[in-house]
Order: sequence, then C-alpha cells, then structure tokens
Amino acid sequence: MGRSDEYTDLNQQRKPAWKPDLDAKTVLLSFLGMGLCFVPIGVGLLMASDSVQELVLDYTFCLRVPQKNDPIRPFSSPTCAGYINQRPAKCICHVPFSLPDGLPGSVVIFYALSRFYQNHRFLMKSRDEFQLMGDILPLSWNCHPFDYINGSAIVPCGSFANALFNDTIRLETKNETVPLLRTGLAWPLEKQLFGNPKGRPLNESYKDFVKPPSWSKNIWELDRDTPFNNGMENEDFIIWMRPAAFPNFRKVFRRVDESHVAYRDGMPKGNYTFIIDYNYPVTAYGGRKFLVVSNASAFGGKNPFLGIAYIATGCCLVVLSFVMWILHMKYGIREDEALDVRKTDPFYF
Amino acid sequence: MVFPLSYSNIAHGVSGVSSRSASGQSSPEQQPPPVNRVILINKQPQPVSFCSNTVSTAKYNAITFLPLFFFESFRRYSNAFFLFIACLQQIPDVSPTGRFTTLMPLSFILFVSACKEIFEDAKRRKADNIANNRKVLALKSSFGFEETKWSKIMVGDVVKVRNNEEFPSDLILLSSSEPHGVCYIETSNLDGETNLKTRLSLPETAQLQAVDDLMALDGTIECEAPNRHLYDFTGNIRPSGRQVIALGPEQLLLRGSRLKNTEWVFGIVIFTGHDSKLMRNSKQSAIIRLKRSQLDEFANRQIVMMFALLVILCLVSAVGSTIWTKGHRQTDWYLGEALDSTNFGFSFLTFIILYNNLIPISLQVTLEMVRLFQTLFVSWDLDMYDKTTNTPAVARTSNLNEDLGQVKYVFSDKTGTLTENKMIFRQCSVGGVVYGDALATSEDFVDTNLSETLRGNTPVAKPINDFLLALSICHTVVTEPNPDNPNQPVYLAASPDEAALVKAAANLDYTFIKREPHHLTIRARSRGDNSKGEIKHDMLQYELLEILEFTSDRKRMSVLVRTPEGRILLTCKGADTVICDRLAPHQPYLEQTMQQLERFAERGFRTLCVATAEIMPDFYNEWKKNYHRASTSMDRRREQVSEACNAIERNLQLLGATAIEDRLQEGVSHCIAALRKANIKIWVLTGDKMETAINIGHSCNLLNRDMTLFTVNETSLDRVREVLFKFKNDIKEMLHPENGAGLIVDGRALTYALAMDLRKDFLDLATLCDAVICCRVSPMQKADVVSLVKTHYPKDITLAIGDGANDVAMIQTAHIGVGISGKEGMQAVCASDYAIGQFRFLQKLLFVHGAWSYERISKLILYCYYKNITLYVMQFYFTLGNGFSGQTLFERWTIGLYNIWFTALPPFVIGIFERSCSSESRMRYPVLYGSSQRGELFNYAVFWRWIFLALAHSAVIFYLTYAIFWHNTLWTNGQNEGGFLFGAAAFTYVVVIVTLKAGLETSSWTVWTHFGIWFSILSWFIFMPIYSNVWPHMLYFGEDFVGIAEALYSSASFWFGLVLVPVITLMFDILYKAWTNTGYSNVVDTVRRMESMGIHDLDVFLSVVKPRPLIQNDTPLNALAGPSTSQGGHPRGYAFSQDEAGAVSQANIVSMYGSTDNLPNRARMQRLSVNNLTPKKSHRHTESH
Repeated sequence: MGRSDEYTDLNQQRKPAWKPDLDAKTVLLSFLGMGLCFVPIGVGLLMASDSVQELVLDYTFCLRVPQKNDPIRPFSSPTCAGYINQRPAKCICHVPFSLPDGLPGSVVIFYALSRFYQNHRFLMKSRDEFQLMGDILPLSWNCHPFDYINGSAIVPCGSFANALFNDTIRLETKNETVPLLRTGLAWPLEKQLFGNPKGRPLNESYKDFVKPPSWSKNIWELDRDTPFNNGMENEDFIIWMRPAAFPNFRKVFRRVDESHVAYRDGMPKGNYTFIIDYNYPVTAYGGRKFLVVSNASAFGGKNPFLGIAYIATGCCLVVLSFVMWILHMKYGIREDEALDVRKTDPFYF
Repeated sequence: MVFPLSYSNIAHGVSGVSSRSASGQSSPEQQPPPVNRVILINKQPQPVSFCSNTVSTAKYNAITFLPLFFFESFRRYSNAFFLFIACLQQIPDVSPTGRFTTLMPLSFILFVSACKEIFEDAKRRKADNIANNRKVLALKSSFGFEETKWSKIMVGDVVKVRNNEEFPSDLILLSSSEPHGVCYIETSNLDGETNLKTRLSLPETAQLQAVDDLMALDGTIECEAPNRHLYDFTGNIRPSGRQVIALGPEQLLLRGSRLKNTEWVFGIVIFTGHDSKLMRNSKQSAIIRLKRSQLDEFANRQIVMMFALLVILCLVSAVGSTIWTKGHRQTDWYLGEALDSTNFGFSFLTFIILYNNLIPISLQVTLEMVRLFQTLFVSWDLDMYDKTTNTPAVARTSNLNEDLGQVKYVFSDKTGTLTENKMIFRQCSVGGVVYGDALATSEDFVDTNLSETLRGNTPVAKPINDFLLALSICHTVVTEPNPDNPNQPVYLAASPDEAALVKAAANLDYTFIKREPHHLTIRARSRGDNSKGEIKHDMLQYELLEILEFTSDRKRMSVLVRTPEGRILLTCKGADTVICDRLAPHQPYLEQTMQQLERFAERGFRTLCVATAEIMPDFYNEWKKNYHRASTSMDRRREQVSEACNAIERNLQLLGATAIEDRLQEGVSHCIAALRKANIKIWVLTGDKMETAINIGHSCNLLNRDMTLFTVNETSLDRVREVLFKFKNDIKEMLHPENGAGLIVDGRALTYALAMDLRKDFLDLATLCDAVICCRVSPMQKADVVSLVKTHYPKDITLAIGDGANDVAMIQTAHIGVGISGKEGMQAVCASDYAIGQFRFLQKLLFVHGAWSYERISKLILYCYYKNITLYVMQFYFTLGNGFSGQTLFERWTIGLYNIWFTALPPFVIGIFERSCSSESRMRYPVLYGSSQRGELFNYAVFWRWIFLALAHSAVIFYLTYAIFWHNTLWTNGQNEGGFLFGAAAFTYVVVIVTLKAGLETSSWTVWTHFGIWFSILSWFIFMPIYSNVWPHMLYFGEDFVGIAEALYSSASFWFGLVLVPVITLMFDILYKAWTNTGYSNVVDTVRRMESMGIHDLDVFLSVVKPRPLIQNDTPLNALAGPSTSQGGHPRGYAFSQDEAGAVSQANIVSMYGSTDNLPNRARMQRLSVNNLTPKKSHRHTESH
C-alpha cells in the first residue's frame, strides 16, 4: 500500500485547509451584521402578514333554517349539529357576515376542522392508491374495515375516504349568488394520483360498487356539472384525501370567481351569507367546523409568526453581539501577547 | 546420567517426566496433565496422529465464515438491534415505515463489512501459504532426501536443514556437519537474542553422517507433550535394540530459529505446526483475535443507553396511545373500528420501529470505511516510511486507530527495537586521556590524535601500545581467513562487543591475524620506529597459555600469554568494579580513568576496564597446577575454578577503559523523550541482561543519572516481597521526587513479583516509577506484565512494540501491538496491529495519526448520534399531535436515505479530513497529546451534552416549522398542503442544520470538507424535485411525496424559514463555541487558533506548558538508594553479551576453531556465541557419555 515515491497532499494529509477561527471578534461582527439585517426583514414580513384579511366563521352550532319539505317532528334540535344527530336528515343553516371594507385580491374560502385526527396512522393508511388511480379492484388490505359491504366493494374504499367532508356551501349577497369556483384548487401534480376508470361513463364504471357508508352521494355524483371534476378526480375529494399535518387544519374549499365582473378586485363591501348544507358531524368528538374567508399575501395566509420571529431573533443577535464584545474585551487573544493557557486548562502548570 | 523416564512404560506414556516449570514462566493457567508423545523414527504412520505442520492464522474458512461472521456482526449491539427491527417490520400492520426500510440498509452494511473481512483474511491466508509452501529436504522415501513442502512434514520424519535455513518444525538434532555434532542457531525470532547459540547432538547420534545411516535408523523417541516452554525439554531416544538415551534442550531445534554457520544438520521432527513451541507461544487466542478499541467499546455501551432512551420514548408513546384510544374510541366516528384493534403491545412495537433510528444505523459502516482510510493514511505517510529497508508503515487492523491517540503505557522490547544491535567502539581512555569522539556517527573508531601519538614514540605512546595489544590479545574471537586481504581476517566473535574491540584495535594497526590452538598472531605497528615514512608492521606471535573464561559472577575474562620476548603476561578485561578491586596500589591514572569511565557511562556507553599484569614464571607454574586441578575437579568445580582465577588476577596494572556504543536506532532517544513528555509511561521488557538493559535505558533517555534506581534482583518470594514493600516506602519518602525513579526488575524476581499476592504491590511500585525495565524476561512474562497493567488499569491503553517472535505474546496481549518490520523475522509483524520500520515512527503514529484518529472518530460518533436524534426525536413530537398513532412525519424512503445519502458525507469528511493542529505542531509539542490521551473528546459528559443538544435542536426545529407552517396556507393563490409537506420542510431544515453543525465542528475545511457539506445540502434540494415527480410515472413508492417540491419551492415562507431556523438553532452553538474558544480554551484549541492566525512558532508560548519536565539538571546523586540499588553511582553495563557455561565451553570452541584453520568458506557471520540459554542443572550427561 505504501509507496515511497508518491507525495500528494491527500495521502500525506496536507490538503490545504481553511481554518475558521470562531472567536468572540468574528462572532461579534457576524452576529451584529445578521441582527441588523433580520430586524427590517421581520418588519417587512409582519407588514405582509398584516395586509392579509381573514374572517373565521365558526358554524358548528349554527341554527337550522326550516325548509318547506322538512319532515314534521315534534321535538327537533334548533341547531343543525343536534338535528343531524337525531336523524340523518337534510339541515340547512345560514351564516351571515359583513365586509365593511370589502376584501381585495383573490379571495379563498377554506373549511377548517378542529380536533380531527386526519394524521392518525390508521386513517392515513386506510386507502388504496391503485383504486384512487382508477384500478378499482382488487382492494388493498389497508382499506379494511371499509372495504366491502355485503360482498360489494366500496368505492372509494378505506376510512379516509369514508370521512370525506361533505358540507356544501353557497355564498349569497343581496339575493345574488357569489360565483364560486370548485376547481383549480389542488396542485396539478397531485391530481395525477387520482383517476377514474377509462372508457365508460362514470356511473357505469362504478355501478357494481357501493359508496362508503358515511357518504350521501355516489362517487360519480360528486360534481355532475363538471365532468373533469367528477368521480375520483373531484378536487374536493382530492384535497380531502391529502392528509393534514395536525388535528386542527384548514383545507381550501372554494375560490371567488375573479372572471366575474363584480368580483374582479375581490369581494366588494357589503353583507354576505353562507347558505350551508350541514351534513358533517363533528360535535361527537368535540370538534368544531369553520369557514374561513381570506385573501392572501405573497406569503399566503395570515401568519405573523415569521415576522415576529425575525424581529426577535434580530434583536437577540444584536444583544448577543454585545455579550461577545464584553467577552472579547475581557479574554480575547491579542496577537502580540502569548496566551497563557495555564489559567484555563487545569491539566498544565 | 539422567533418565527421566523408565522406558518400560513408554507405550503408555505414564508420566515419568516431571514437567519442570521453566524459570521465568508464570503462566497462571494450568496445563492439562502432560501426556507424553511417542514417536517412531523414520516411520509413517505414527501410532497417534499428530497435528499437521500446516500453520494457519486465518480467521475463517469456507465453512466457518458465515457463522463466525454473523456471530461477530451481531455481537455488536447495534447490528443485533437492527436485525430485530427488520424482523419486527415483517409483522403485518405494525410497521409505520414499510417492511424493508431497515432490512435493506442493514444488508448493505453487512455486505460491506463481509467484503472487508474476506479481504483481510485473504491477506493472512497468503502469508500462511508462503510459510507452508517453503521447502526443506526430508527423508521421505528410499531415494534419499527430497525437497518437501513444510506443510507435508510429519512427526517422525528425518529432515536435513542447510545453512541459513529456518527449521520447519521443532526438531531433535541428530548430527551436523561440524565436529562433535555441534551446530549454531540464531534464535532472534524466538527470544530476540541475536548472538548465536550452540546445540549439540548426542555423541551416539553424531556419527550418523550418511543418508544410508539415517535410513537405517530405527527406534522411538519419547518426549513431553507440546508446551510453550522455550527453554525446557525432556525426552529420550531409544534406537532399536539399544539403551535409552536422554534428550535435553541441547538437542532441540525450534521452529522459528535459523541454522547458522553450519553446513547442514539432520534432525527428527517432533512437534509440528501449531504444536511447535513457537506457535504455542503465540497465544492460541490469536487465531480468533478480536481487538476492539476503547472508544468503540464505549460507543457500544452508549448504544445501550440509547436503547434505554428509545424504550422510554416507546413506553411513553404506547401509554399515550392507550389513553388516547380509550378517550377517542367512542367518539371519533371517522376512525371507525380501527381503534378497536390497537393494544399496548402492538403500539409499543410500532413505536420501536418508528424511533429505531435514534440508534444510528450507518455509524458502523461509516466507521469502518473511515478507519480504512485512516489505515491508508498510516501506510501512505512518508514520514513513517523507512527508506533504508524500503518499508512503509502498515496498519494491519483498522479497529484500533483511535486507541493510538490514548496510549498511556508503552511496552518496548530492547534488541532490534530500541537498538540496532550493532556495537561500535566509540571511545577509550588510556593514560588518563580520552580518545575518540563520543558523538561520532561513523562505525569506525577514528582519532587522529591517537594515531599521531602512536607515531611519535613519546612516553605517552607506550601505554597506548600496551592497551591496544591487550585488546587484540584478550578475547575469544576466532578468525576466518580473508582471501582478499590476508591482513584483514574476518572475525567471528562470541559477543558483538568483543568483535567491536578487536576490530577497533585492527583499525589502529593492531590486527589480530589468526588463532591457533596454542598461538595468537598479531600484526602490530613496529615499536621504536619514529620515522616519518611508512609504517612498518611486525608479526607478533604470542603463545596462548590459558583463557580464564567470562562468567557473570566474575564479570571479567583474562588471557594468559607468553610474549614473543618470553615474558608471561596476563591481560584482563572486565567491569570496572571488579577490575578496580584487583589493581595494584598506586595506579597513576586511576582517578582520571574512573572519572572518564563515569562520563562514558553517562553517555550510555558500555564500558570495560582493561588491565594487565606480568606473571613470574614460578608463580605461573605453581598456579597452573592449581588451576588444572580445579578445572578437572568433580566437586564444586565452578567455585574452585573461580578461586583459582582469582589467585592470578591480582596486582593488575590499569591500562585503560573502553566505551562501546550499543547503537540505538535513529531518533530513539528523541522519540522516548517526546513520549515521556506526553505522559506516556515506557516500560522496557527485554530478554537481555540487566547491565545492558540499564545502559540502554540511560542512552535512550529513559533513565537519567539523577533518578533513584530501584533494582529488584531477588531470588525468593519472601525477599521479593520484602524488597517491594521497602521500595514502596522509599519512593514515597524520596528526597527529590522530581528527579523521578526507575525500577529495574530481573526476570527471576519478576516471576515472584507477578505471583498472585504480589502483583498489585509490584504494579503500585512500578506505576510510581517513571521508567521500568524488566530484564531477562521470557515471552510469556512480557505478556503477563502487559496484562497486569491492562487488568488493573482497564481504562489505560497499553501499547507493546517489538520485533521478534519473543514479543508476539506481548504484542497480542496489549491493546495495541506494534511490530518493527523490515528486519528478518516477521512473526512480530504478523501478530501486530501496526507495523512500522523504526521505533521513532511511533511518535508520529501516536501523536499525529493516533490523536487525529481519536479526534475524528470521536467527533464522527458523536455527530452520528446527534444527527439521528435531531431528526428522529421529531417523530416523537409529531406523535403527540397525531393521537399517538405512530404515524411517521417524514416520507419513509427519505428517512432511509437520510443516513446513507443526505447526511452521509459530513461524518466521512470529519472522519477523514478533520485535523485540529497541524502535524508539525503535534510532533513538536507532545503536550497536545494529552487531550486525546485523557479522552477529553468522548466521555459521558461530552456524550450526553451532545444528546441534549440534539434533543434541543430537534424541538426547536420542529416547533419553529410548526409555527411557520401554521394553517399550511402558504401560497398566494390560497392553496395549501398537507402533512408530508410539513415533514419535507422540517426535513429540509434538519438536513441544513445538521450539515452546518458538522461544519461548525470542523476545524479545518479542505476541499473535500466543502464538498461534503455543501453537496449534502444541495443533494437534498436536487433530490426533492426529482423524487416528487417520480410517482406514478415510475415505481410504486413515492406517492406520498408527489408534488411536494413544487409546493415547497414556491412558498416564500419556506425560504425565509430556511434562513431563520438554522440561525436560531445554531446561534447558541456558535455562542458556546466562541465562548469556549475565547474564555476557556485548552491547549489544543489554543494551538489550533494560533495556527489559524498564522502563528506557527509556538515555542515561546508552549514553553510555559509543561505537563512534566524532563529533569536534566545536575543535582547530586540521590542517596536514597535501596539496598539493592547500585551503591556509589549507577551501574555501568560492561561490555559482554556472551554467556557462560554453554553446552560447549568457550575455550573449547576457541581451540576447535583454532585447530581447523581452513574453515569451510561458509556464510560470513559477525557474531558467534557459544551461548546456551538453558538452565544448567541436569544436563551433565553430555559429558558423561
């Protein structure tokens, strides 16, 4: 292995090296520099976050609006939450809100759930990726127990799909319906993971299969108006199927159609009402449902954290650089004097 | 005549041979009751099948490889653990990360280390094959001798070994080409002694000179069972139809030794292969040798701690899971019946799989690769390349690199390790004047002053003339004619010292020409010729009257001659103490000579006094009768001879003194001084005599004259105990403890000192001393001394260095074994972990390679733990937020690649390229070794500091990411993302922070360091878009990651977070580093910082940093010597390395050679010793036959 005539920096371990020396002086200067940069950045971020307006509406216990064709019941709950518990029945409620100054920019409506453990392992694994891609059978073992009902396969199978958020909304103002878009919400790449069986109309493709027990509609009925947004390719379904990181989460629901003249610059000022088809039960496990109306900055939704963190860190860095300065004055090596290591290293005398 | 065995029970081998335990053997293990071996001469097959002569030091063969390899692999806790995890993952529904995410990396790692093992074993096999395929002449058929492979030699075979060949196995000498069946062997491979020894065949077999005789030979040999005692042997030979004859060690030729100066010998094979004494002495455990570094073992223990941490996390999580499930089963309708199937046990297993990477899976394989590189650096190092012998340093095992940085004890052999084993006449003192240059480096003695003086026929010339004549007369050197120049014969000397003296005299024109049985011829410069012209020479013939032999009691030798003028002259040379006692009163130069002698000794030279006396013929005749009577006496012969000699060695006139340098290898004393400055204790363990050992101790800086020397030279257990206790007291009450103390122990005394009840006391005393020298120790004793230190100070790393087969046991016992390569014997090298060409390379091996390796490995291990904990503890924080379900935060294959790709390079570059303090500084300032020696970089405190740092970092990263990704609405168009995006973002931050942390810990950034750090970060950023586009286009694995990269890269918050999170996380690390660098730096840090400031000459600064000054001041001699310490000055080694009472007496050899003037033109030799190591007791049968 050894060679007498070869000398390289590598084999003699003499590769030239940069030897940074993190002493108080260097750190002092870099901390100070960074600190002074961070504070203005933080201010900018905070301002950006503040420019976002969002409206969070908790409609968990919204009051039922009686409908003409409601079945007659002697005692019925005033809230939709209670009403749907008593009997699965259609419950409609109104959630009014006003925008005194309007809402500029593109406006997005989210639904938000709390205490819903979409990130639970059992929920997350309970799906069949191939079925979602259009290969309906065979079902993956993962879907159990939401795989078969009386021998017919469930489409889409698994408890994740079964728990699909199925409230529907309409937004009205002055007796006029605000145009809401239900497409263009999911990431284009993400959509590639979902597909319907090819060749036949959806209802025929899916006719041998049953819907998940909690669903009120069949898979081919998710959006009958828009063929490319139906079945597995329905964006509401796709967005639901993307697991959220934490039990309190928002998912994008609708977008205000900006191509409409009245909403070109966002939502004009005025009073609005969500007319909600209330289906989704959350009270059993103490959860809440929200609708969020929000515009966005370059950083997305409202989140002051980044700005605050930058300002705080910047201040901290400046303070630390002062600490360093004191340290440097007290202990720093002056190159003209040899440092007496005996003071600090107990092993030598 | 000694018959150790009544041969009526030969066949049954009833133990009649009392297994005499060798002096100096203290092996504690009890041998099984010896079963004697009966061997049929010249017949195959033997009654019992004996071990073959094939030697194998390989660890594995085809069948044992897999079981042994797996046994060894899974002996490592971490591998066993990952195997367990891989099994767990096969249980359906338990694993959160799929079934093969552990199995694949584990197989990869095992595959890599299997390749490494096979490669290493192949090397050993190759070396064995060379030995096994060597050839020797064996009498295998009726056609006479045939070349036979060593491996085919069997017990009972008759073999013929020719000059300079090694013996293929242990043999019984039958006959030789020499008179009386004498042969000479060199045993330097066995015991390190380079002078030749004689073996003598039985008179009954010595006449077996022809092949026919040998073929006709028939009979049996009975001998003791194979054992490891080199100097003991009992057996007997029974030629058929004749009486049984006893065999002793004098007939034994051992494997590992070499025939010298003898044309051929015939021998019968008795012990083959692993039965041979050589192999018995290389410990059996050598076959499966598992040396592991201290650091490795410590790290292995930490894995247990990590496992405990893991179990705690798993328990907390599993309990949490049970409670959470209980609370949510009834209410959380969307989870359905799935929750019913959870139970504590299964979720515990799930969590073990989830958190298993807290134990870094890639650590072992990274370590192995890094160590491989470190061994390459060792072998590449030109500073450790021996140009004279063309040998590079070799690291033969890679596991111990970091131990080299922690050595506290060095056990060194002397001959061939510290010394070159070359004696050089350096100085002499004649008539009160010193001639010669003490500091000369040439091999010849040159002094123009001396030659000048001789030429001018001044009164000063006379003593010089006498002195040189004495040198050329008084010796036992024999000559071999030199065909090129009859006036410069070749000297064959019993001791290298004598050769040096005679050679020096010859150089000064007093040439010893030849020796005849009763005459010596000297070619000397003519006296009384003061012409300026050319030098004339006289041939002087001296009649040799008597040689009074050297013995270790007498410490002198004398020669009685009749000068050409007819006077009877006695010339005597010997140790100064004995010569002084025998001087006539009123010696003119005694005072000066003694002072000069003292100075010689201080320089570490071996000294001799030379004296002469004229004997009156009457007195001589009278004495001669006495002497003859004494030397033929049957009763107390030795004492009587000694008395007789005493009678004539009186009233001597001092001629002068000589100083011979037992030349140290280059740089030895400098190296030893440096090692001692680094607080490494050096023990010299040598088979050589006490005087020479002490001498070397002085000349190599191990001992200095101000030291108090404690000499333990006792011969009984009680005396040794007494002396040890006394010394222990003395050493505590020393007047000048700063001068240090040295302990010198004789092999015999060591046997007692190592006895069970004295071991501890001996060790206590030895560790209080600055230098320890053990003389005349056997190979097993060397190993025993090492293991004594090893067992009592288990945390201290021991290193043994040696060059001969006698060092093998010690080399294998010590934590680190170092062999000196490039010399003839390879046994030490084969047994060693590192092989270097010269002793002085030890300095670089320890101070640079060792310290760097230690630092690198420490940082590497700590860093690997750090990066794994930082990433995987996040899984725990996430578990708190996902209903304790065991869901993984990160996509499963990115987890797998974390260790083997994204953060694989930083540990590598740390392990290979990190170097704090340049190698120049480390060589120059031994003080820097202390940091690694004390294990400051890796201990419990450091380890847990890193663990807590990792826990803190992971918490900071997790919750910062959580806050930044609040609601996941990060895009202008209001789009949002899910859990795996959060995981990917956190993962990104971890990769960046963890690699930057590696950079922060790196003190020297080479190109490769830059590459390793920046490339790691970059590779993740490149990987993400590629991987997030994979599914469904290619394979069924990346579905969770689809679209993540686009989403993440298009989020401004993510990029702002990429600046913020590392700054916050590493801010305090930087602060801490700056704080310690500035306020609390240790020596290593300070030197490193000075270097980075460009200050390279640190002498001024480091002159104040001395862990322990080497004392060189001139305080008066310490008066506190114990009873056995040398009185009035330290002992001077007198220059004799020959031994007395050999198988054939010195005088006999001399006369034998004298009578055969025309010696066969055999290989030239420089040293001829008629030395025999065996205890002399019961081998008188040679004479009585």
